[in-house]
Amino acid sequence: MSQPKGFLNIVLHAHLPFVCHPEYKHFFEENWLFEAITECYIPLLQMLTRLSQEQVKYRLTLSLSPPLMAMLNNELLQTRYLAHLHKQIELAEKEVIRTQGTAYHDLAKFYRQLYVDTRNIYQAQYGCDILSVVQALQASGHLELISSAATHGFLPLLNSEAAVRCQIETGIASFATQFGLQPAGFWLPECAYYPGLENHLQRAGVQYFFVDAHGVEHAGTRPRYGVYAPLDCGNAVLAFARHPACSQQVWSAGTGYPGDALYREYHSDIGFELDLDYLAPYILDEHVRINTGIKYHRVTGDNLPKALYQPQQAAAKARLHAEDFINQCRQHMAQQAENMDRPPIITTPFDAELFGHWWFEGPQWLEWVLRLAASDAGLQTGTGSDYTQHCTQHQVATPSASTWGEQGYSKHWLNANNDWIYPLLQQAAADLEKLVRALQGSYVNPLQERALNQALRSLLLAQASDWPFILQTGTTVAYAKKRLNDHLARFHYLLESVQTNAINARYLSALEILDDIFPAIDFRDFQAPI
Amino acid sequence: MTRLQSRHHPNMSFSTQDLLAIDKTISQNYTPSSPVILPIERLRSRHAPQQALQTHELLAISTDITQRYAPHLPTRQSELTLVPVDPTSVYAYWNINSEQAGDLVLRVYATPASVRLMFDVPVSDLQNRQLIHLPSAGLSYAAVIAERDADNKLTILASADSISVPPLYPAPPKPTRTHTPQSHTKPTEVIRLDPAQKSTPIAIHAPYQAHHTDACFDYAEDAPAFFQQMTGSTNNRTRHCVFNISGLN
Repeated sequence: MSQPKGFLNIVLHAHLPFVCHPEYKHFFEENWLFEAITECYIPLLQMLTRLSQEQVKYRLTLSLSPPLMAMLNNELLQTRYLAHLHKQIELAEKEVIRTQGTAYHDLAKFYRQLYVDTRNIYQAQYGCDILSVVQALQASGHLELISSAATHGFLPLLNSEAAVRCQIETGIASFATQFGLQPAGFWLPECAYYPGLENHLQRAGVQYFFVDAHGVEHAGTRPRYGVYAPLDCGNAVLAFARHPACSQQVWSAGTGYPGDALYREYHSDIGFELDLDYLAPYILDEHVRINTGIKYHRVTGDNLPKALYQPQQAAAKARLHAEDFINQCRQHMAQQAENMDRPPIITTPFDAELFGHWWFEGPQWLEWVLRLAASDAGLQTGTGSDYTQHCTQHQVATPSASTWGEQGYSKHWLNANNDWIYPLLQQAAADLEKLVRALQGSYVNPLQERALNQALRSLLLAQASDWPFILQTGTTVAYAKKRLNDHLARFHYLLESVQTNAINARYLSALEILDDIFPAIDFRDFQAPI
Repeated sequence: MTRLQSRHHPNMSFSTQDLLAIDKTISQNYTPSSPVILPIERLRSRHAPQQALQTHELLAISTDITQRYAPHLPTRQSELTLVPVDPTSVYAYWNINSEQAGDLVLRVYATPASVRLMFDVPVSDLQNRQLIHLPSAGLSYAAVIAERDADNKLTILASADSISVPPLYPAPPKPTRTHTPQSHTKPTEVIRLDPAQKSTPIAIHAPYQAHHTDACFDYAEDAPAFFQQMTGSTNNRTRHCVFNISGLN
């Protein structure tokens, strides 16, 4: 096999917090999942399937967080998603009628078709089982699937070895149950790494993970090849670094591709533009304006009235941006390859939800990137596992503590807006660890076992990085606070009910329905590694 | 072939195939989908399927538990925790289980002790957490929270384990290269201690391995001269400390 000039490792990280509210008939935040299915997951999977059917050679890394997998498998949410689509089709129908004779009419028909197609694909083609399509792409050799932490806990701030271990091992166990295989790679939530984390990963059988560029650049020993080769953390677990310049092209709101004037404007949505009476059946509580997904304008430019969105022009631009991206990757690789004894690797991790939701043309851009890479003689798409098959020796150095968040560290998840949660989380973890230790070797009856397992589910759900993130960004603060309070209250209730031998079976069943995740979890696993 | 016309729009005609195709498209796209019947009225735990609950029961139980078990920190043994935030700041949070007569002081010091870097952050007994700005990146720090009595003596109430903050810059390319404190040719790191923090540097000592400060002074006596030398300013109230990051060649 000839040596490639370089690997392009595109990593999509798909994650949403676990949001499922069977205690309500409708719950607004469940729309996060529904919008992501319609705008991101189905378009991406359709595109990837199309490429595989056309025998385009590509490799892509896809990380799926356990909460997302649990939600995609949840029958109640599947049913509610179909109901959501039904409403979307209904609204688009109304729009087709309303816009007749206007410049918006073709776009209204475009959305109607989009929702109808989505329903047909989801229901008839996928059988409401999105993960089976993912698995088929993994089986055909196009995707390398990797796992992530149980509830996307921000590992450096958990301050509990038992909690970190449980987040990692529960995440991997969920993945193994879903796909029947052990993942080679692991997505650290928010790329948040601290020295020592590699020991937990090694114990869990992980071979590699990702950090932001400065995680490798500021390693204990200066990296010989910078971000173009992984580091061996000293225990054969590899850290791949995000390539700053190439990632910036996609991430940056100001200078990145998604801000192009021809692309669809996310913030121009009929939910905020049309009469409330007209929108009432399709918005929150019939009077609170929300995004509906129907957007008629393009980014246009600063201080200009928003112009009509034209999908064909946007698609053509997506292709140009894909060409630019591949050219830039090729140039970076060519520069590096001269000074390297191995092919350079460019790692570009992105949130999957960027593609299609925030950046509507993202899936088209990615399709062109994969097509162009497949026909490029000097560059090939490859995953972490592909790279390690080519290169078996790596520089040994411990990466530096880092995240891919604002300013590169933990500030976004620990500041005056969210600092109050950490003592509570740490105390809860310490309480559970102490109880687990005390129960070692003791008989635990089935009801106690269920209560303790449910307490662990509550704690894991409270640890999700999404809650401090939301508290800091200020978007749905009340909901994040509610979730933290609910989960911690449930945790303390369950622990007390076990300790006082007063478990209410009805209450326990209710909590198992409310937080229906990690069915096979075992509270005994909540302990620090020996 | 027979062509059919709409009585409402006679100038448009269709073949049978046309009509079949249109009919098929409409059926395909607009047949109501079946599983949109909502909601599921009774729900069961997968761990105890014999127990069925209704939506309103779930809500009532959830509300009841949240009201009765609102998260709070129980008063147990006194404890102090440090959490790294970034290269130049850590978060401290604590729980003190005793009545204090004197002022509370958070004393932060670099480890190992040979680094000789220590400073105090005054804190109120109403607080239980504080962001602390650090004078130097890439070090390990520990802390104690203590009560200061009238004689300026400290009684330690709780201590925190040592934590490390990451470096600001890459490691030197040749780790064995000797440190040259006089060379000021490489990036100079200016760390401004947040005046709001009101921390009091007690001693900053140098040179420590490759990345760290080459300043050494006792705040009260040496600092003004140090500031003057490094900044040309005689204003020692600015609390600006300038450190040379040497060894980065």
